[in-house]
Amino acid sequence: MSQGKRVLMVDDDVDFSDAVRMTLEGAGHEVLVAHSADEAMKLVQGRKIDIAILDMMMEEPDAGAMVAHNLRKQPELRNIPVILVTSVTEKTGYRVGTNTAEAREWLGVDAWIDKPVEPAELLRKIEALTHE
Amino acid sequence: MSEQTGRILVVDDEPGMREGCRRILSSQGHQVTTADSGEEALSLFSKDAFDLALLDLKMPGISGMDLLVRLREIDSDVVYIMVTAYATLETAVEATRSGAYDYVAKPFTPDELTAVVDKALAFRWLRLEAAQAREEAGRNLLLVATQQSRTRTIIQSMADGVMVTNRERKLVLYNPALLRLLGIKGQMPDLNEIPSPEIFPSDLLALMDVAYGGGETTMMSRELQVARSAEATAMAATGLASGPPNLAATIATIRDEAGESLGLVTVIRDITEMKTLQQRMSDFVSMVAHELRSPLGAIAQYLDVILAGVTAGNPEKERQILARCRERTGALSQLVRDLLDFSRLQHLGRVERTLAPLRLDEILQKTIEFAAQPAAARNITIAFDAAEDLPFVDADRDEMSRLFANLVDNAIKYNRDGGSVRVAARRTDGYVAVEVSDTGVGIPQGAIERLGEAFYRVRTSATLQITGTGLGLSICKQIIQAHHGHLETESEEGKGSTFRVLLPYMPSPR
Repeated sequence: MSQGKRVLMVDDDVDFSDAVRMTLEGAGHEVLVAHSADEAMKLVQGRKIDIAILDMMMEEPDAGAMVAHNLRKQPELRNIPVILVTSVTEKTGYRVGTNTAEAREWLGVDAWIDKPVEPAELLRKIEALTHE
Repeated sequence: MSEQTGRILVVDDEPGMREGCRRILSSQGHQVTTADSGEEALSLFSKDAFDLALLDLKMPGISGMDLLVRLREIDSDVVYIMVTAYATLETAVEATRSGAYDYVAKPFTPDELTAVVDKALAFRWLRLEAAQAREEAGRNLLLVATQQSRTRTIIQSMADGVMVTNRERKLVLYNPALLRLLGIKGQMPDLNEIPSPEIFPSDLLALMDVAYGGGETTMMSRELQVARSAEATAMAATGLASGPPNLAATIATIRDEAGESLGLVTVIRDITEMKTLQQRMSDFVSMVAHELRSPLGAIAQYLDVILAGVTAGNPEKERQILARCRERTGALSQLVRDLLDFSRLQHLGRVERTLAPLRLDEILQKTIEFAAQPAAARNITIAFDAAEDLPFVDADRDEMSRLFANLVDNAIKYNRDGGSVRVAARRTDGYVAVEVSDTGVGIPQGAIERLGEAFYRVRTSATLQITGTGLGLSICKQIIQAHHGHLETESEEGKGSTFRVLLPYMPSPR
């Protein structure tokens, strides 16, 4: 295993984010947990982050996409990998399309995964995305 | 020979004539009554019905001619034959002018009498048939006229648009609703013309074309795209009017008995409401799916943590995780309960409520007893204060229990550890007011009006850990509305909230 990364985990479900935190910490990563878009943006101020895992549907149905977009606007975070976590049923209410390549590029999302997240797969994805 | 036998009255002062006539006519099968004077004839006429009367012209008392006039006043449809011993052209003419059908001259042979009677009866039967036919025709005409006007009235007043086009595709009939639904103003469609594409939506005309060419197809339904007028677009832009209605057209081929197409009847229906309901239903299902997925996702993720061995060797950590999982399953069960209640309350008209005079203080007392344990677990005290003179409310006991249990549960759930809950019931102007106050996290100003919206939950850092379905207050609101009451909410963020339920009380039984 490579050295631990600093992961931003944003999800409004305290239990889900807690479980992901435990999984990642168990694998040697450091996890910063935020439960809303605002909290996330405050949390990353002046901090270096290696990767962000964002829940799509929080206070707004597309809050996760907005966090991704806003993270990209910070010069030091412009290139961090982003994993967007969605529920298949949450397809309504997005202000941005998520199906086209353009939309994904605009969002700068590197991977999409569905809840619940298979721990091993999540760890593999983090490994793969932060390895470059 | 007559086929039908008649009821015949013979009036003659000579017994020989009476008997002779009776014998001859009876032998023909007729039913014969005799009278020896005009007076007797009049009295018989007032009691019985006759088809034919043979009147002797020369009788003592009332003469034959006078009798004819008076009998015709009683029944002008009877056929009258005058019997005269002095047959002259003048008497015959006079009798006919007075309404007699024929005359017979004395003396006459049985055959002569039978011939005259048969001819007269035949006339009588014809006249009866004609009268009957006239009456029937009159009745039928009236029926037809009534039905036509009724059908027209029904079609004119229908909410659905109706148009009928004939075999030549020409417009035969349409109603005002059709014009309204299709937004046709100003230029009216011309009857007996093919519907103009300048007036009718091309979508509809295309559909009708298909129906005309449809062969065996007898009925087709399609949703219509109606282009809105510039005026309607402008209205919609200002928000003064909604968009064009969603329309559905149903086209049926009218066929004659041989199955030949006679034309089309097209019915246009406004399905906007149905579409709105469909949308609302689909939104609701999405929300329910999300509400189910969140706890399931969290539970699965926690279990994965244990299964993946992340917590191995830390039983305390595992116990904490399992406790959270347990709590989330509890919330899921609550969600299912809430959904069932919510759906039940959505059908307000169909809910069976058992209304009875209730003292709310009793229900509140029980609610608080139930809440005591979860409150004590977090060091929260509950104070209860009910006025002595609390009037009765006409309410469903189960729903009242549910309502106040929801409010008290919320007051505990959203409270701080060591906080307090106060429940107070008193009489106000026309209402019983029940206040449930807490010292909890409070509600941000902008969020108060959204409370009670299905699945709406206040999301602040303070409420993150608290499980809820977002349906509880929605259910409360519906119960209160169904009981003609109000819900008032006051709150200060970080200090606490007060929910005030106002329910109308019953007139004092005293």
